[in-house]
Amino acid sequence: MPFTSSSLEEISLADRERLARMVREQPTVTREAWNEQVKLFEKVGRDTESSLPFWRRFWKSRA
Amino acid sequence: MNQVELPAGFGQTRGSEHEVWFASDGRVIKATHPGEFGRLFGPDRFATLDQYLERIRLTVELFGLDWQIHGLHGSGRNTRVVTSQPIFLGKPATRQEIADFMLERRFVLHRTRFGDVWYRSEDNVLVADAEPKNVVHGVAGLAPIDVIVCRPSEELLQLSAITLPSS
Repeated sequence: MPFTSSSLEEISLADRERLARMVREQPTVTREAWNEQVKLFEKVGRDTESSLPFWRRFWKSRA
Repeated sequence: MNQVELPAGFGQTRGSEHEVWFASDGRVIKATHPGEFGRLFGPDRFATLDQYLERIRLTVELFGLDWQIHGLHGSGRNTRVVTSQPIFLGKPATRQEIADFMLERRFVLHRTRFGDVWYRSEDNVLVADAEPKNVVHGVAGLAPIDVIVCRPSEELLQLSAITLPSS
């Protein structure tokens, strides 16, 4: 847990820098790579279980 | 807010909140569905324009996502908010990775009547929809690209039975 003794401001700053680094360090984003990624995310995209109340998840799991 | 055009044609993907287009500068253009401004956690499932703009502001401030507001498209019942954000190449994060990410940032998971939600009492921040479809696992860890962030009212916390830690 690297953030254990960090302030919330320090955590946010570290995340901001990390995301900027991710954009810089990743391969150039092409339309083809994006299309592949869209497919990957659409596979999990219909899973909205966390937005269901527990009782609906319960009945869904029993169905 | 200024009026802006949308990219030509349909977006490459549509979610429950946004239509999304690839932009050649390594970013995506996102537009809310006409007359909608995304979702909310709690009994009111649809956000107002102000709530949506607050969500963007908090996502930028707290998670460091470069989510930029371009403007509005259309008017009245067809109004859409047009924004952009960087594309993070990667795969959907797993539920365990998301849980570790949130716990590391001192959020606590609450299972409520409105669904699961992460809450941090230190600065009164609530994060909903932290699902694999909304978090990318990229080259340097996780990037929350479409979670729902808000500062909940005391009433919403009570309705959700989210209890604050006793001091």
